[in-house]
Amino acid sequence: MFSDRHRPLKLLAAAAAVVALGAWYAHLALRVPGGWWEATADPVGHDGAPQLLPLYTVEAVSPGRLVMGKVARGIPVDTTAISTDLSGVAPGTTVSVAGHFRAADGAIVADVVEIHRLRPWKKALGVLGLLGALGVAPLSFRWRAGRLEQRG
Amino acid sequence: MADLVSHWALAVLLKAGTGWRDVPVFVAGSLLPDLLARLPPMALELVARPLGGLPAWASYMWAPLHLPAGMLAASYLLALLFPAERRRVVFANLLGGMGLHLLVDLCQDHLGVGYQLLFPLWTRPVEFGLWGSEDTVLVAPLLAAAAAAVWWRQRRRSAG
Repeated sequence: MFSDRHRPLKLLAAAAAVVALGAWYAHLALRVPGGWWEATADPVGHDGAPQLLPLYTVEAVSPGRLVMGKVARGIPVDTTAISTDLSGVAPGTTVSVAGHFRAADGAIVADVVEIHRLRPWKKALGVLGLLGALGVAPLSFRWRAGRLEQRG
Repeated sequence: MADLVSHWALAVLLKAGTGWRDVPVFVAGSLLPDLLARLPPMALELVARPLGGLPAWASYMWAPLHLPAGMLAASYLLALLFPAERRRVVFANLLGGMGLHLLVDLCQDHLGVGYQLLFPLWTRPVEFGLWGSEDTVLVAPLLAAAAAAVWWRQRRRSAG
């Protein structure tokens, strides 16, 4: 399994496994029973269906209404039924919403809205970690004779 | 996912407590789930935005690299890039780092969603919900300082 025998084939098989897993995941993600994609394809059939929007970005804000996006964009969210203080929520803010689909206007009626106020800090730490990794990688590994080697 | 600095620091601290061998590979393993599963769709989205945005499938297809099945395949693929005599050790350390990453992320709470640990066999999400999805930001400076101190001590020890 770890020998050099048939190495190109093993590399190809591992890469094919990664692609196949990704393709299957995407296939399933676009067909989550009752999810946003299905609800918008058949609104009346999904009226009242529970909806989750975890870690979505706010695209627009108006009184009682948010427009949110991540993979899907322009998702209208009715926030009139919740008591959460949404002050400070602006385009670019990350929020999570649990609610249900309303066929009449294709909106999600929010039951719970969680505002991720520390998200910008988390993103900054992500950038810092990425830059650190890019800086340290050449000091820790090198490419020699067609193989990757750990230095030291 | 917890923040990348916390993942990095926790990997260093764990290695310090378990022998300090193959630290770069283990740390790489602890960072790769986010670098492989989150970074490409974000970068592709930036590129594709002027052209109307990234198709949904192209965003979703990276996600298994943050799940055990994808981690196994990615660790094996990357281990094959190393010399044959090092592959088992590299594979074990990459997978160990990725496992640590997933364990930390599993402790988070994401409002009703989680990680499909047994994908593609079973797609029910799992999450322990012990802390919020941004809470590691508050301890990241402490973890980073502790990891830096451990790293510095190990460097001095190996130099002496």
